[in-house]
Amino acid sequence: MRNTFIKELEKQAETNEDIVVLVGDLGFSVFDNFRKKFPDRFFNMGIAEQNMMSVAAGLALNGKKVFVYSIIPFVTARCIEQIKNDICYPNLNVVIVGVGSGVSYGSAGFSHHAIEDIALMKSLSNMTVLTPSDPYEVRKLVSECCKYVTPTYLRLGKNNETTFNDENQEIIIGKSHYIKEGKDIAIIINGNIIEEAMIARKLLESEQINPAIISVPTLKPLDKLFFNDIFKKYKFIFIIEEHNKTGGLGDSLFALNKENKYENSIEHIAINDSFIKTVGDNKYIRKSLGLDANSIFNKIKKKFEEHDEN
Amino acid sequence: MDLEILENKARKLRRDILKVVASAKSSHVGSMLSIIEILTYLFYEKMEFNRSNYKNKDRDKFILSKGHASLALYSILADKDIIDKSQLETYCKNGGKLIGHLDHSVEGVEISTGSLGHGLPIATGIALANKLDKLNNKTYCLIGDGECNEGSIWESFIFIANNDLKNLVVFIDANKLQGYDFCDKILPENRLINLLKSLDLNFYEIDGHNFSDLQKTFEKISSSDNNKASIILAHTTKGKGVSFMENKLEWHYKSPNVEELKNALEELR
Ligand SMILES: Cc1ncc(C[n+]2csc(CCOP(=O)(O)OP(=O)(O)O)c2C)c(N)n1
Ligand SMILES: [Mg+2]
Repeated sequence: MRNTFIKELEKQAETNEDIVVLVGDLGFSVFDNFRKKFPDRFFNMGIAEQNMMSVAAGLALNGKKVFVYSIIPFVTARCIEQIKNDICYPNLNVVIVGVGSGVSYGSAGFSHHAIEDIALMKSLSNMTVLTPSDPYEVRKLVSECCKYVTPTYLRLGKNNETTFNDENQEIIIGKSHYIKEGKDIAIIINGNIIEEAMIARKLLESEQINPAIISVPTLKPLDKLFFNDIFKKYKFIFIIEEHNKTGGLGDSLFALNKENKYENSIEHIAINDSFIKTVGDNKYIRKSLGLDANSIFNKIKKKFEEHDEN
Repeated sequence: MDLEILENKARKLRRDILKVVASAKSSHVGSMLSIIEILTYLFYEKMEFNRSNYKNKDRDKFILSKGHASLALYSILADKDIIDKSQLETYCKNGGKLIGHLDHSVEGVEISTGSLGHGLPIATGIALANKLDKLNNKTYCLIGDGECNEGSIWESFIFIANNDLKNLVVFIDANKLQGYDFCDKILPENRLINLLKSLDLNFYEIDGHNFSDLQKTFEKISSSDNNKASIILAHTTKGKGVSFMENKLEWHYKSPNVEELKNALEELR
């Protein structure tokens, strides 16, 4: 996702001279080329995220299109008031790009994990929250971002994610879509946890269970029309996200479901409001959290069998 | 102070770190190698820190603010048998005991760090509490030169300068590099030094790889007759001790391969 992001941003910067990039002393081997190509529009702001965020606000006030980049906690939690007061309240043209969704930074530990960022960003008025699930969606969303002038949070994974979207899939801010159609069950995901959901789906297929997979590239504003339809069409809903249960995609969907008094059976597979002390890489920690393909497969299979018995 | 013992210890710690980083394929080896003499001096010469007393209420405390250099401290904890030596090999590994950034779940670690700019204010609070309780123990804090970009560091210094925290010693590991640039490109070192001097605390500039320098500085600190905190700007080399790692940004991120590890250990025999 990181490489796709920077490639697309470079492309946009070639035609859009208002684009300015600020990084928080990060980007080794990622921004090297961008930096060389656009030395006047690239600033290493140092390890000073609060200043970086308000400088972005000032640049945007004067008509710049600002992309701010760092590891997720440092461009969200670290400078939340700067984002709220200086970017969201005046509704400024700043795209906050955070890298390392969920436990992408595995063994780096709690300070680098991003499991409460969606809750923080979603709670800010005027903020659009983008949670692409594969490099294709990242590419499309970066170009989409350049068409809008509102505060936006773009949540990236790390690198080398697989692409699951079809090459002609339309990606528009505010819309969700099918990755796979299915029957009875819909698995709704955001972010690169899609990898696990897709493996789980393969396993389920061999048990004659065919869940739909739905991606949510825009978490806020939620695509209500689309999800109303999903709630009507699928009895069983599984929401899977690499984020705390509180404040993420699950909460948004639960609220919509309740608002319209649907009677789906919904299971939320996410992180249970606790800091992660497990040491290990992304995959290993996912497993310890029940967020790996096998755990997802088992949960869905169990649910389906229970239902069959009744 | 026995120079030979300290120098041997420093070499051993560097070797331990390199082996673990190579096997974990983890980052930040340069950041660890630049602080070895400072840590060795503190933990083997200055503070009384061992298995039997590291939990005592009246202990001196060390706060590593640049938590990405965690392994330097973990290696000392292993060397002192405060954590099991075998734990070192589990650093950053699946199912391991040691998390990449400094974590207080590890025996002997006072507080977790990893997001820069937090350790100094915490150390300030500890020193303030000791002062309130009229305790004589010291608080040592180590921050990075890049870390000095953070506003919270300066908010802390403003407080320290105003509150007579004689019991606090702040080291700045001036290894000239940070995450994506030489520090000079962000905050030139002479400007940093002027800013620090303007705080009107006890300010010292030393060679951070020289034990005698460290010792002399602490002699000065203990004989100073004011009530001010001390700042020691330690000139260091990022990647110190392994020629091909020294002063190179890439060793903030890379870990040595088999060949590089062999060459590195050869240099540190
Ligand atoms: C608040 C925050 N921003 C960014 C980072 C990412 N980061 C980790 S180490 C580092 C560079 C640190 O430079 P310095 O303080 O000079 O320490 P050194 O590695 O040189 O020892 C950065 C930017 C972080 N850990 N915390
Ligand atoms: Mg440095």
